[in-house]
Amino acid sequence: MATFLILCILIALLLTGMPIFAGLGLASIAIMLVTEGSISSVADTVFAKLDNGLLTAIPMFAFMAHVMIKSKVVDDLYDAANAMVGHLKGGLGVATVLSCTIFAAISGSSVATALTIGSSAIPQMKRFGYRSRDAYGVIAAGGTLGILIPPSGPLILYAIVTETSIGALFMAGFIPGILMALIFAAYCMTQAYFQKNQQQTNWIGWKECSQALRRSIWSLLMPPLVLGGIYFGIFTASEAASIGCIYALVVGALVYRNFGFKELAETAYETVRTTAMLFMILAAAAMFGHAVTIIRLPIELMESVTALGLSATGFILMVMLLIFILGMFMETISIILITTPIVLPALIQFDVNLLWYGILLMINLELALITPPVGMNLFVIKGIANAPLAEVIRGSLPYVVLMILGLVLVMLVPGVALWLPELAGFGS
Amino acid sequence: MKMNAENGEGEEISPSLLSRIIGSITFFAAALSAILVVFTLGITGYSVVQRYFFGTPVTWTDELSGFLVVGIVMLGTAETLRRGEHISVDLLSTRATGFLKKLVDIWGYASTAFVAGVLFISGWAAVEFSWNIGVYSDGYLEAPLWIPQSFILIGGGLLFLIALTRAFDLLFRKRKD
Repeated sequence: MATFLILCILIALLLTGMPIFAGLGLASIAIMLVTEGSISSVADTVFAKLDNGLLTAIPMFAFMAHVMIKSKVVDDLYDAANAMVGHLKGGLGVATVLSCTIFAAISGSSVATALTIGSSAIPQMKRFGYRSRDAYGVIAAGGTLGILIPPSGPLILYAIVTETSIGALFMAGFIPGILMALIFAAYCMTQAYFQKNQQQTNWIGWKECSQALRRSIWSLLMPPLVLGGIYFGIFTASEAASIGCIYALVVGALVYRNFGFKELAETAYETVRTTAMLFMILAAAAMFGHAVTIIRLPIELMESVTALGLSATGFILMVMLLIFILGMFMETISIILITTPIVLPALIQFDVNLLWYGILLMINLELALITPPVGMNLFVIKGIANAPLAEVIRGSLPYVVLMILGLVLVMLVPGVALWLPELAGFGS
Repeated sequence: MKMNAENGEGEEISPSLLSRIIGSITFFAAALSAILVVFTLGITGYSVVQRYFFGTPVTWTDELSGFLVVGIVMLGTAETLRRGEHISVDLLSTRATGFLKKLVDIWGYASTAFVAGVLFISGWAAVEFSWNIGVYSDGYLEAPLWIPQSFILIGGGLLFLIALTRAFDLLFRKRKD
């Protein structure tokens, strides 16, 4: 009952439109004042959460993505993907998914992926006879790959909250990410058979194709550098992010020659705001986690689950359903930081593999990005295409079904997520 | 999903002189934070170079990075609020208009100011304790802990000031048009 009441109060506070960190902070302070009569632990909790060298990976990845976007290093990606597969039936859609997949492996952000690829892909797809809604749908869905395909900011946060290996989680996200991309691409190709207006580009020949690939080589080298460094144990996640950043800065400054001190200052300033925005929620979620532990909420939740007689599968299904519903109203980072500390003791009790759960959570959060009424990618597409939201939502609906299928698949076959990390020696 | 853009830059309420002064301070703090971002990048890169090129791993970078994260976040949070970029659930609040809208916005800023105030007070207590007792970090740096803890104090204070002045601006200032 207490759990339900606290969650209701929290949701009511958040719905008033205050910053999420303030809502979490307010609820936590109220609980602390009522139970302990003191707020002295607030700063210590915030400091303990933020004082973590691992966290530097997120600002560094954000910095790297901002540099790559600002120096226009990624602009050639879509042209290269288009040159390779644009001539196939549904090829522009496939090229869009391919670009989103590669960009996701550079940026680690769904919104950045949808925004960057969408700006080039939407006009091109419309020009080649794609219905607007089909173009919006594939970008909205392709963009979500940013949080599943490593490096992923949300995966890093999940790793920190659950104290799981970031490298192992990145590996676990790799195959499901590629699988989701293949499902989206297959859908685009199938759709092309029913939408006769969709045209494909002309095959430009191997020579031009290799030229387009050469132009995008600087973007294409980034994922192997960053992820290879992590997977082969050369760098930690934070170091890999920093090396990626330095690489992006060098390419922007010396190869593309459009990244100077002014751009560096602007990018660092943008990174500060992105970091503050994310980590204030992380800090407030730590306060909330501390507060609910004082009132034994996780233990109560565990007792309720035990009383319900749920199996591990039943519990996961219930949590996934809850997250799907939350995802309609809340933003992904907040969902991770609010729900994970609450369900973590139960997950451990049920001996659920935290890598597997993390990937299920990410696919569910991908859904959150394209499910109305609040889906960040829907808003991004609406913004860049100046399109009616209803049309963007209609275009995204088939992908919602595809993502649910992907979620069910990973749920039924955990090996899809766990094979790679187990191969690398990560047990759980 | 961001706190209403009307309250950030390009806002409809003309900010008071006090609000503008505090805004300049928060911008300056964010600029310092941006320097810390570049510095973090530098020390992490330095650590990799030392380890692989000179065979002398640096032991203190992780600890320092942790302190830098605290600095980056706390020095940047007030500016993020000033620009209306903190994430919020604006599903209902964006539908409010007129007086109700004003009320919702004031409530948002007042709540933020309250949380920031608590952060400042407890941050003060933490810094005072570390200063008086002489607490040092338990890593290789053995740095006086009050130094990184001060970021909580400064960030909480700036966040409190900017949120409060925004709330007052909404209460007492007229719209630009």
